[in-house]
Amino acid sequence: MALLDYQKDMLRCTRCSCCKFIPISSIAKSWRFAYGCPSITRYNFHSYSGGGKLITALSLLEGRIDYSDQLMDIVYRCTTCGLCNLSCQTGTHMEVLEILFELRAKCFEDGKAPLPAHKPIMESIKSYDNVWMQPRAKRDAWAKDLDVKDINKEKADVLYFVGCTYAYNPKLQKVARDTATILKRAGVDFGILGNKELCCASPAFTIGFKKLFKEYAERNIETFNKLGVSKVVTSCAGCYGLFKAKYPRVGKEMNFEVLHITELLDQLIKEGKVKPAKELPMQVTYHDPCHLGRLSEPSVPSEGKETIVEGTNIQFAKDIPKVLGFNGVFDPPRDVIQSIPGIELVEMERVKEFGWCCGAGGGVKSGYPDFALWTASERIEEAKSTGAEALVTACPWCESNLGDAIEKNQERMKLYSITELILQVI
Amino acid sequence: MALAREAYRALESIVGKENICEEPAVLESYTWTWLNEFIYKFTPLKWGNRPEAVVLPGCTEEVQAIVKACNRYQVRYKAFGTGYGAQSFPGQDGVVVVDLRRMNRILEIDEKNKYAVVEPYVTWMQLQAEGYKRGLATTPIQGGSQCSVLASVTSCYGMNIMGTHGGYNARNALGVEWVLPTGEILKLGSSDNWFTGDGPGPSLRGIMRGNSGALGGLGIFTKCAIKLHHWPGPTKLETEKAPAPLSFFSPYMLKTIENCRVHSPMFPHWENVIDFMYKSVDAEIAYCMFTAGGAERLLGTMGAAGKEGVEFAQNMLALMGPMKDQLKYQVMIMLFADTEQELEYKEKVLHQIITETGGATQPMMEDLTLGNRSMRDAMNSFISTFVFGNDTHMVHGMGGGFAITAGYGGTCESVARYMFPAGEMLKEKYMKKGKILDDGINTLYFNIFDNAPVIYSEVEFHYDQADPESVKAGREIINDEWKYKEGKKYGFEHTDICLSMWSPVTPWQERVAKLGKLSGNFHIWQERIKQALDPNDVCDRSTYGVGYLGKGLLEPAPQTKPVAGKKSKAAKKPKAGKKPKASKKAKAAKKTKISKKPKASKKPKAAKKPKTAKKPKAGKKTKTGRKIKASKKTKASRKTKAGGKTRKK
Repeated sequence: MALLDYQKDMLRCTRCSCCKFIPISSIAKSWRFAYGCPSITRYNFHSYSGGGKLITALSLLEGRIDYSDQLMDIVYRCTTCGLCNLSCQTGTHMEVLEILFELRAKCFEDGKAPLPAHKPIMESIKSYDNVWMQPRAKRDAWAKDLDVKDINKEKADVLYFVGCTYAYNPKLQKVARDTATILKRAGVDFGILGNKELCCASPAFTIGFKKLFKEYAERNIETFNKLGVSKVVTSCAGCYGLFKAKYPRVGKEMNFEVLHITELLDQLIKEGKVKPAKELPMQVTYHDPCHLGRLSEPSVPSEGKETIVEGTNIQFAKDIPKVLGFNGVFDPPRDVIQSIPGIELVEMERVKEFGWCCGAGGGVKSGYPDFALWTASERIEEAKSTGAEALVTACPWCESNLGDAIEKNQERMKLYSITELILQVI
Repeated sequence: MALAREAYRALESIVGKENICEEPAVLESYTWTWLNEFIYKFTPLKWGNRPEAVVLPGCTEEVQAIVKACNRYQVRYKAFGTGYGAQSFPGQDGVVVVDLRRMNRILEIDEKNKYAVVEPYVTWMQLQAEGYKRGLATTPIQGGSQCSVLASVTSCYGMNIMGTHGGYNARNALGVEWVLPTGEILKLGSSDNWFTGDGPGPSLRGIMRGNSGALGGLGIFTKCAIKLHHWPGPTKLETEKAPAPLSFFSPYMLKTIENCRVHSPMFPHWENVIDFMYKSVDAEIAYCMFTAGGAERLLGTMGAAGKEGVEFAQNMLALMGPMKDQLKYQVMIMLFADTEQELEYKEKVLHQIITETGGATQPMMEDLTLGNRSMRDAMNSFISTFVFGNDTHMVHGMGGGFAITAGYGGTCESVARYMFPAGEMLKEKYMKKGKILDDGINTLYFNIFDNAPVIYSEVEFHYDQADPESVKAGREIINDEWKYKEGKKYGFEHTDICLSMWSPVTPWQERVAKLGKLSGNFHIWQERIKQALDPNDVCDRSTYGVGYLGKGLLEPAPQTKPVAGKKSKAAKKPKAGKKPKASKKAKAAKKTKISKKPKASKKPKAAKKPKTAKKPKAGKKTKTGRKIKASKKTKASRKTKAGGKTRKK
């Protein structure tokens, strides 16, 4: 796979600008929330849009432009949320997101990436198996006193994969603790890898460090297979999206089912194993994390392969289906929220597969924190427009970034993780 | 050639560091666009003229300051809205693109008087969403719902599939705020309000645009009021997932809208189509009406959805049986009503017109299912999504790209008589060669405006933008069309408005000059306007009138006071303009010539001898018009109507 494989897609970009907005045929509901791509909405120059990046990539391939700070800005001031890909593919079959990743990989191969802000993260993964430059020995500190099974020593049916951020970030460790507590109360036979847990390597994938991603994906798949678990459950949307959508690409058999905690909770509630009993009178709105939503749908890149449809002369068809993200995890978190007595879920305009990104993805939180906060602030505005008093989500990056924006802007909007809400009512 | 530092700094001081850029990595995305591959001098790729810089003003004052700075430093500029298609981009080197993206607000919606005031980057989709909430709607933009509403009504064409109901988009422009090429601000229309485009004194709307628009060649429009029309639908449109294979083209589909119904009658000959359209317009039943090819187009179209799409199309065609050959011309007509009774009435009228004009409906639509809906219901929603979502980018999914030969406007009969046979003849050759999509040949796009006097038409063909051979075929088709038109003298005699001028062989400016000589010397009038409004010639003239040819076209224009004491370029050229030869036809048409002269023109000699073939008065037919065979039939059929109601045979 290489950027060049997608040259035809780049040549087919008409610069129509559909990639800037929520999918056209989904029909916008207002002037205010019709935009879909944070990058172009913030930076305005066309090159920051999905289509603009395709043109920039083509120009780079053709040698019309060379690397520059501006070029790196265009490439990396992007959350890789995939909205452009969805909007484009409502009418075409251009793999916009694959091209964005390949462009990043090219930057890496040509020695222009990682950016200074991303370098320590890559080093941290290599040195400590996590993105936070923390010692391996502290990875299970969140589970102290919880009496959780160490799956390295004891067999369990389910592996709870915590992820670097929930494991190390003191502000977010509560989510991991809440999750473990709920699972225990529901009688789920689960264990954790503790200090043996590795980074999923999502940052390596999104930044363009293909080799590192592949190495960690293979090691993780091998570990999960060896454990003999039937399910790998994670409460991190980033890990989940990668396990579901990108791990299959490394070509190793995956003998386990991957579930996000919201999917498992939904099952447990429907089976009566988790019973939200206490009333929580509150109007909330739900933010779809990109990696739990549209980006969690498995996709196989075409690598530029296409065939001509018989009898049409030139109509090409790719051997892969269009992946629009419709099959992401959208209903389970909503069902879980609505299972809580007294709670009312009100929807924002940009939801599910065309949800607005929180702003933290694609290395933006670490590389361009101002842009990350701006994007999150836009989402808070949309949440406020629903009249809800609280915003609920299910991803450490979304929670962290939306929380930072709420704090910075001194908003009164409350922010909850789904597990936190459930633990309050069972 | 980089922008002079002094000029760059001046622009930077106006918009701020963050809103100006001259980095190649950014400029490239203002260099590449659809249709550049069909323009003379460009390669089969889409790279055009790279601008010198891009500036992003945030308000009218900044636009004005930019324009004044460009005059001061003799820097060319071009306004840029949502930017779709070659005409939106710099047509020459050395241009600063004024990207109006930051000016994206809806300033006012006057529900009672039915208009909205918008800035340049408000898209159709955004205005429509706010309009629906208030029971109002605007007419679509041919480019799609991601395009600028302001650009469509003030500057760039204005075709749309609801033209029969809401008119040509130019007709929907009311008050306008206009930064002239010199930097002066001109407000068109009512003095302290926006409700009309015509104020006291002469109206300048005709100067502002014409049929095709100034395409960025006459300054920058910064605010505009747009006429809104009654919307019989819900305040919010709800969608659901579309079933395969339709989902390839539009993954979302509208849920059923009350009292909205799409029909697609088919006809044996295009003359029947014309009769049908005239009658439907007279009966005032259509909310939206257009042609987009016959049944055979289905195969090529659905092929984009791969094997599943091909199977779907083959099944449909098999079900149509001989009908698809006997009735190969199809019209899409949408009926939309406030009440069930009104819809019922419109449907009755429609069916009567179909019968009267030799058409038929597709009976199998009633019996088939698609997903969990009947085929009729599914298609109804699908077409409605296309109309109300105004999603034209899906058309690019077919073949990898689509383009058109020169688009034409004229009367229904004249355009149809030329375009239907021309389209079929031009495409067949390349389809047989296997270079363009086999879409059944007949893909004439045809829609009607302003209750029938004007129609717009274009021959669509689908090519693969990534296949140089296919692009080459596209260039040849466009060139063949020009040769055909010139050989037959079509396009000049039988149509009044030639809209799209791109050509892979001859610069379009030369095409405009040629057409201008045959159509009232409009190009000379345009040039006079250009020189009067833009004395320093800094507003990119490439797509306005005859473009660069204009400089030598006229006698010196009356001296206009240049900005910042600079002498205007026009004033430096004392070369006498060529006097166009008068043909017999022009002399015959003398009585019908344009009677008004722009005040700035001291010697409007050229205007005295127009070769116009335009109608002398509304409602009367030209000589050429009378010669058209089809017109007899249409004329006869039109006699069956009175007062907008359908009579029985």
